Amino acid sequence: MLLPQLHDELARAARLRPVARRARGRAVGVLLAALIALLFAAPAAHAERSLVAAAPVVALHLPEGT
Amino acid sequence: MLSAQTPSDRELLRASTQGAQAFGEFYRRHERRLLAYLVRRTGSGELAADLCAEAFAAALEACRANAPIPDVPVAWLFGIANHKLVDSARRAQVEDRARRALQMRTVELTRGQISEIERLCDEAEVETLLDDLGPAQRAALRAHIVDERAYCEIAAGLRCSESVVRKRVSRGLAELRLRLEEGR
Repeated sequence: MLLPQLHDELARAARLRPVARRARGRAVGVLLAALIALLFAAPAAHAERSLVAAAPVVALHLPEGT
Repeated sequence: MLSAQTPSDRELLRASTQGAQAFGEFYRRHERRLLAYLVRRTGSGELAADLCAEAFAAALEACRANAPIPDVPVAWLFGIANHKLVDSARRAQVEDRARRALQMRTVELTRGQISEIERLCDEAEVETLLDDLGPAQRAALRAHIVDERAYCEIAAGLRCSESVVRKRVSRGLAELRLRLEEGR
């Protein structure tokens, strides 16, 4: 063998690879969870803002005496 | 699972998905031959070692990604190396994408190792193996595997049908595999 250090480095990489993949999988999972949370949070926040903005208009159209 | 006798290259690549040992054996089998080929193409021991490292890293990456096992792994490995060589020549820099993806450290070469690789120029084992094939098979194999030309393009150049070229490549690969396994 001419380059034993390359052989060792490939062996090390072959052993490390699944660990790196799992770590990346976890990171992607966390990112996905954050995105889903944002997607669900956004319509709720939007609905709240719409209600606040619509409040004076609703008041203007209320029949007298109410 | 590796066979009890000497495992074939395909068995080694298949087993590489589970551990480092099988790929280590694949490396030991083809390191010298690939370095000889690369030093003949580049004329530099240092460049040949750099390209050899990247080619083996790309092969390992493909195994770990469960890519289909090639019919003739040694031809596949040389194809990867040749692809890296062409790419590197175009960019005037040896690519290191596969090594970075595998988090591999740079391999430091000694002066002795560089001269030893450069001496491989004289061995020319690969060229000898190719030279032993018939001229038609050799031309078809070189054009398709090494130069990565399409069957239709080779057929047009040789003024024959595509199926004739396919047959020549397939016979050439079978012959090459037999010789490599006999010489192991």
